[in-house]
Amino acid sequence: MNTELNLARRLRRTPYQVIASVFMMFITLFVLSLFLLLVASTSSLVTYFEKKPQLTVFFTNEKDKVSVDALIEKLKTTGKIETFKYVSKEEALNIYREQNKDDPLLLEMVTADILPSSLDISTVSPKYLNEIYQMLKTEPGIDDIVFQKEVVDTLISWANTVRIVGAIFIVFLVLSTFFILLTSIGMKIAIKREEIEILKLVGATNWFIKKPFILEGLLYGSIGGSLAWVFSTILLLYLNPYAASFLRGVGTLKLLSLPGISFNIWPPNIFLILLLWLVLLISGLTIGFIGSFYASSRYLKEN
Amino acid sequence: MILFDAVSKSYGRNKTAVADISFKVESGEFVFLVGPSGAGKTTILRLINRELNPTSGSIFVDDWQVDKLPDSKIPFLRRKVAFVFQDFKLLQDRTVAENVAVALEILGRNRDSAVRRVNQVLATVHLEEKINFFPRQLSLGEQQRVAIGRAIAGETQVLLADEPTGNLDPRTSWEILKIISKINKGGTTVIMASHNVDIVNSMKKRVIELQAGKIVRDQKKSRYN
Repeated sequence: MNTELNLARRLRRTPYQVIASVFMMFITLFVLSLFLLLVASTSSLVTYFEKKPQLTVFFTNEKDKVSVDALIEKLKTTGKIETFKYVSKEEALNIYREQNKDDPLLLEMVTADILPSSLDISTVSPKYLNEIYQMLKTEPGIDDIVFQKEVVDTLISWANTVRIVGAIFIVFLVLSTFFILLTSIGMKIAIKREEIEILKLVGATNWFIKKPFILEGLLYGSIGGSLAWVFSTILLLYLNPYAASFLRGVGTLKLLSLPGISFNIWPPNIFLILLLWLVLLISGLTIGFIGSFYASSRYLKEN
Repeated sequence: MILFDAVSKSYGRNKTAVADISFKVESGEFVFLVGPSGAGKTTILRLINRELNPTSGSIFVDDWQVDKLPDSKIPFLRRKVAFVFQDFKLLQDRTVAENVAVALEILGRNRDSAVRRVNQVLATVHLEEKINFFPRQLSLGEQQRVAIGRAIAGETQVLLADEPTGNLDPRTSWEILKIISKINKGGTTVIMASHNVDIVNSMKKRVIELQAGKIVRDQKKSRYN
């Protein structure tokens, strides 16, 4: 005797259309979920690398502490350096041990002697980086200079590509879902034309007639969103060990923080998983609502 | 109160359904619209519930000027002015109770109140025994009684009936008319288009006779011809 029952009845009558709509919604939201996770990861990585020292100078074994101090003094006179941090061979070994504590084989073979001492440098402004880099290149006793800007630039370029390709793909999928909803709900309205005409004659408002179709769209959205979340979570857990080796040495990457709650993109925590569900559910409900509202408005006007 | 003031309705250039007709129906009245097919009876009924809009003239239902009513208000007019059709227009996939309950669902009645009202209405149209039947399991007379039940379940003040006995045998037609008459005695205005001479003659109600879209007779306590 109520709309919800009518909804259940109409879903049972057109199972293939329901499956097609839910499947399309699931695919769209699953891709959206992957896209969001990729964008969030790359953005967090960019932030992480941006906060790291911008130049790391690795010294040869011949370079002693005295000549390093002389180099530091020389750099200070430029007035373009914000911070320095000297990392001795022993400190480098400690860092190496911390990073590889789960891999005893790697720890056994390494001693402080084979690790280089280094100097982490941050400039006052990124525009001085190249100048300092050029200056350091001419210095004796320098084995290698790691220019973090290059890493950050590569990451930013990669993140932008991910964003553009992902956004195009998402727009394409959202439109496909939208058209499938439009066709599916349009067909149902066409089948129910007589019923709709009767309802209008007995005083039903357009909203009353649209309501079950919109509920249907919302149902597709919530099922599709939840399925996408389940599959994304499974994929996230599956890829976790691979990501762990790739992100070795990278600490916790926070996506956002609220008082008492931190949503960590790496390693992914329960709050991130719940946030992902919320985002996918809201996205599914939004696509479902807009698609079904538009479809019902359009087809009701035509009939 | 229903008022037609110089109302005309044309379909295209050549087909005039009603031409410059004026009449007034007071609240609680029972009026028969009679006349041959194509005389304009159905058009008048469809103009009252705004299924059609007049080509010229004005139509009032109480304070509402029907021909000027915005689309968003039409559902509210139709809750007040209910229609009973010759072909019943029932929802085939819903039971008798659900068909009647549609009118209450539209009004936003809660379940308990709707169930109570459905039971009352089904008692009025003598269908208590068939509450869970589907329309296809009912006789034509029973289907028309469901349609009448649906029409009176809500906030109906005016009942428009377009040949409600047109598909029924004489005995069933009388049963339907008794029910409609009972509804009218309860204060609901009834305007009924009919071809049934026996029914019109025996009821001795106001008769508006139409020919070629014009009123040719409007008499109280009258007969078919």
